[in-house]
Amino acid sequence: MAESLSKITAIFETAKELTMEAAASARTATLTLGEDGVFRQRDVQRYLNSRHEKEKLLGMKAIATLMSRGQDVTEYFPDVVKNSAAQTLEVRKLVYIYLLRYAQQESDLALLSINAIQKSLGDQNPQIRAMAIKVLSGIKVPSIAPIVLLSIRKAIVDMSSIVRRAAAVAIGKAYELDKSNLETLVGYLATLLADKSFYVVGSAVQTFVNICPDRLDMLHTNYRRYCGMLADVDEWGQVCVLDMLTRYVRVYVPKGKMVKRSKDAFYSDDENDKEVEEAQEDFTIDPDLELLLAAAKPLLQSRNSAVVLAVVNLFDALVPEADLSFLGPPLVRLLSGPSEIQYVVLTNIAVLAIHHNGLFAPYLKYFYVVPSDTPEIAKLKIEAMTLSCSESTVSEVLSELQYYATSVDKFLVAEAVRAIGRCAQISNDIARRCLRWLLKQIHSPDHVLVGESLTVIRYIIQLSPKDHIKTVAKLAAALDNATVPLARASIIWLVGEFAGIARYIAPDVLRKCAKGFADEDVSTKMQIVLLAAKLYSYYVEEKPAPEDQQERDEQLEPTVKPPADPMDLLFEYVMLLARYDTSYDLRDRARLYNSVLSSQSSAPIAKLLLQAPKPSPHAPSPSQGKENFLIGSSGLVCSRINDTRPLPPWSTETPDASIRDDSRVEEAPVLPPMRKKVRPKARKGTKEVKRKKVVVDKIKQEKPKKTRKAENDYHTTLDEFFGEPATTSTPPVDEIDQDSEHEEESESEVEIVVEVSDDSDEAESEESSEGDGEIDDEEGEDDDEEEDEEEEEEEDEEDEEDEDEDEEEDEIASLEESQSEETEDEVDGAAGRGLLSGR
Amino acid sequence: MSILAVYITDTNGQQLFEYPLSDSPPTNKMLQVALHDASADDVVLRVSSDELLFHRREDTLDFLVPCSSSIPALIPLEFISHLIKVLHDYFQPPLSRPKIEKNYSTIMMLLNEMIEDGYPFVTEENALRDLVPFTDGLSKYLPTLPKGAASSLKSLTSSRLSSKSFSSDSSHMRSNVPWRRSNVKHNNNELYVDIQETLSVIIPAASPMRQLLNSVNGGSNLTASAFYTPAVPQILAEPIVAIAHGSVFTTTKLSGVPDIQLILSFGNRVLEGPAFHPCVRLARWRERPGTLSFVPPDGKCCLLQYTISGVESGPIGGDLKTGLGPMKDEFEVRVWSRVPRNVKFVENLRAEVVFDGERVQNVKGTRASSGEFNIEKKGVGVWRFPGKTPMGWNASLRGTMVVNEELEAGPDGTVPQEFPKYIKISYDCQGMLVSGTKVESLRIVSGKGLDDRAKPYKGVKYLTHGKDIIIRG
Repeated sequence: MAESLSKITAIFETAKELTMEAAASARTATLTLGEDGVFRQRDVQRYLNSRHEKEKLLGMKAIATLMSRGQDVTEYFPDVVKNSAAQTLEVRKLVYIYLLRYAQQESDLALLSINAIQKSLGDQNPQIRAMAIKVLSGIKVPSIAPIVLLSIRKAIVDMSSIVRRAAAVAIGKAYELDKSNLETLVGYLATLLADKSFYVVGSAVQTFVNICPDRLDMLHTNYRRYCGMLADVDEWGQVCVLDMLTRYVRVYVPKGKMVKRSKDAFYSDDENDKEVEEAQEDFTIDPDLELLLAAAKPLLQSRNSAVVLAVVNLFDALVPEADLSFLGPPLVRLLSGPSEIQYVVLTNIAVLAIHHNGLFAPYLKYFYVVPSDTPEIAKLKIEAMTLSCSESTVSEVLSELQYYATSVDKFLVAEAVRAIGRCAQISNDIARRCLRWLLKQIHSPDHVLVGESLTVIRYIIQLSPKDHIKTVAKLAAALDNATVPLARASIIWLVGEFAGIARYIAPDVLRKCAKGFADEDVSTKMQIVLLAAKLYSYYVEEKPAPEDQQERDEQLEPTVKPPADPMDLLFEYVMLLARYDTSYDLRDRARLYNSVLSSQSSAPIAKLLLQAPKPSPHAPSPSQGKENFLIGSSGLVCSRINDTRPLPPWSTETPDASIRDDSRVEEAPVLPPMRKKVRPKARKGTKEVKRKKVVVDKIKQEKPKKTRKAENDYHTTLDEFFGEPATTSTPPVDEIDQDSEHEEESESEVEIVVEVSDDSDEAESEESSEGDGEIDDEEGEDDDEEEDEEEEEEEDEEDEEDEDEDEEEDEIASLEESQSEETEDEVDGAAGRGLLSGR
Repeated sequence: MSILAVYITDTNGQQLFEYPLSDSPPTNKMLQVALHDASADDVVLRVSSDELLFHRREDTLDFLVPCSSSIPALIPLEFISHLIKVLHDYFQPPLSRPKIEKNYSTIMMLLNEMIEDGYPFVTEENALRDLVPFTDGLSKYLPTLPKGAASSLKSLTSSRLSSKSFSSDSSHMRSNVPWRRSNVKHNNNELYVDIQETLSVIIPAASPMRQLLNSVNGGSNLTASAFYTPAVPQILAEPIVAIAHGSVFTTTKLSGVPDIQLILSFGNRVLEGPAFHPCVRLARWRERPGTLSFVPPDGKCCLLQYTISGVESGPIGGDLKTGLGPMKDEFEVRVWSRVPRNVKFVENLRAEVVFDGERVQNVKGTRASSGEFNIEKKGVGVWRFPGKTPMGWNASLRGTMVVNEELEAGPDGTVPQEFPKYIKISYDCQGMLVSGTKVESLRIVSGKGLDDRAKPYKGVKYLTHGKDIIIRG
């Protein structure tokens, strides 16, 4: 015990010392640079020009700090460029980042670095080769476009998938640099699109989307392969591949058709007939489309929500008729994410719920609003809930909405009442129920609730005015108790609006209102004046024509002069009240109505003005109108933007499925003969002859086996790679070969590969197809063959590094060299190809 | 379809870090204007018809990512999530202004790898560890120390630091497994499993009938002093929503390339749309649900996320009664912990009493049997129980809401009495999961570079986080 204690104290002692020392060294290291966050130009330059890598690094870090702060550091350009061949990778990376950002502004000086970068293109380390191609293509100096093209050409056949992936990205940048090279670049891209490594394909497809999204024909032979490797592509790549395959299918694969199953004797039971027919409606889809659907479905389990939405979009765009109920759970699961993602997912759910009625019906509970939801999310949840409710669930939804409608949050109240209005559309019964509840709310002290309720009541009444005369009567009765001016105004307006139908209600309402006119709020007074005008206009209309009256005046004196009609009196009285009101607006209005209604000649105008039928208010779900946007797109989330990547329409004429047969066997003489490759083709051939009929529900269960086959043909899935029991029973063929290969590898890798050999079928197919590509970079540093080939270059580079110290001269030299580099590159390229074919 | 720039600002919008990706991306100033104009909740902002702004606040920092408008909306948002995860991995949470300012060059190099051609590229923490050197405060100065000391310090901290000497040869090796960094070496091999569930429950307002039954059966009636509530009420409202969102984390510090099989049991519950880390072999899961077979990334990772609905309402219960007391103007909130199921206590228990802040002036005469009750902001009173709360315990809170006198009277001439709108309870409970999920077994199937005798599996931690337990009044 004592011993261990003393040990611990000793450790503490050392630790203390170390800390002191570290602090001391920290002081010396940063004393002169960047203390207090201030960098003096001279100091930074001194560090950048230092001979010591460590000081260079400090210098570059200072530059990085300045860049990150958003300061202009172009003045350091000459000092930074000198370090583009620095030995420390970290320094070099920082120099590269600097170049990527500023090369454009100092293109002449940037050229000084090109030579060093080109040297790195031949580096033994694939990581560095990849970095070099990235920088070279990213430097926006048009004059180097040819060099970029050349290095891309070399990189697309690189051994390492890292480099090929970098090349895929570089193609996009080279296109930006010089758009006239499109043809050549597309050619290079075609090679990478056909790459065997899923690592490369993701980026290749991304570039494809950026530079030539319309060349979907380039995907024919890759289509089935992509379906097979979809699960292994990285998540960002998956989003691109899914999007692109969706587009491809719309153009080149026939659309799935609904085929009503002819009634079998089996199903002829009269009672069940309807149900059976609905459930068993068949869906014929092309086997290629089926392959894609099967490959895409597992991606719904991705942790990346962007992938999930891309899959949802795929199903929504390609087989909207099918039973898509399996899309529900992954989407509602995303509602546990950060609120930003919740918001986007809910927007999409709302649109999907409009498309597919009932898709989210089982998940209503997920849309219940909790107090921590932001207003935006709460709104969308209410919308999703309303859209997903059906006659069977409506009472549950209504009671939930009613709870929100009486809550403290104002936005929630308004939204919930509107949602109740939308629920009312489901059926007349429900509409009556909603109406009853809404009428009760008129007495609420909550202004928002009252206002919204009346709007919705008006909406429901206007849907079928004849059925709701009683409702108007109830509203009029409610007026006696309503205190909120807004509510009173709305009710009076409603009564006036229905004066034509419910004749006996309106005059009485006016009579009551006229009594308390002086105590009303201005908004209510205006409505009273309006009501009076409306009523009077109806009255004038029905009154016997004045000409007749005048004639009669002369004939029947006693009867003409009776006390004026109560309507006349009431109107005059209200107008009089309004005339002396304090509100000039009210006075103006009264004058207007008075003059319009007083003369017979303006009667038609009065009728137009006061009796015009109001259009029934349209109360669509807020997300209505967004259906044209793609699921997952930004246009769905944010309005008024240019989101212009609509899906191509389904083409009516689709080419034969054989265009998707993989023809690379003939085209690729460089590769060693591949027995494996032939098999899938034959299999596919037979598969295409007849279209398969599948009940959509079942597609998924049948899937796994089929995809497995497809995958086996092309590459090993990661599952298998890590020791998934072999599904095929072919005996090991090249085991000896493999072992000898793998002996050279480092320990950690051996273990994995040994497991692969259980499954020699796959392993071998990978070997033969990827033998010249994947394996080398997987093996890493111990690949002797590669090293031999590149030893010369390496020496070159070492020379270069030695010279580093006399940089001034070197720069000039390198400029000249860069001119001659092209020819040198040619040689390199040739060497690379030779290596390939030699294998 | 591309990301135009990445900005990190403090919460006042002052720029800390910029990383432009296109020639002339919208500047932080423009973005701040857009942010200012928008309502606080807008997730996606329109900067111009071709440019959008995606943003997220994490810790005390704002991450702003302007993008071209053709980008799928979730890509930038997921990217920000990944970026935050990576920054947490490098600099430890919580992120802060000094952490960003100290590590400009590292963040810049990270972004250089994470975005290519305006699109997310390498975003796995482990893969980035291989690409970008990890230098935290101490390791930066290691080379300047005396040789012996440096190596001893290194062995002390080696489990945290990756190789410092990041010269060209050390990066040569690329891991076979995209999500696992190469050459992982640990002196102490350890493996932890953490399963966390976040629980959301909504308990509807008790119907008058039920309240009556409660008062008869539960023993606490209207006239008795409610200061002490003798028993947990026997009739409880059934929750209308009870959803648990679960995550299974592993923290692996294992050398070499271990292959692990973790078997979980979920009882008979249905997982709604589980989501997996790419390292999990889906085929195995399909064959036998509950089996997670994987080669883990080094460090912490979230293997599985799942959602289960219809779970139990958790270890803490509560209810809200209104209209009590002689004047029928009192309310009572009760909170209790259920009888333990191998759990000893819950932590951070608190109950928020939410009322209409416009109509209620104050809460008077509050009597709490334990804990502290304070009005913390308009419309919210918080009732806290510091420290650990034992199981089989209960507490009650009584009080009266004082209605704002300036309010207009209702039709009957009186201002109606106000009561709490709802109670929101939150807590952390270690040692149990509401869904009853369990680790059945964990096996290291193969682990090259691992000592055979090593028993790295250090056990599992269960944590239920009651987040939104809503009891409606």
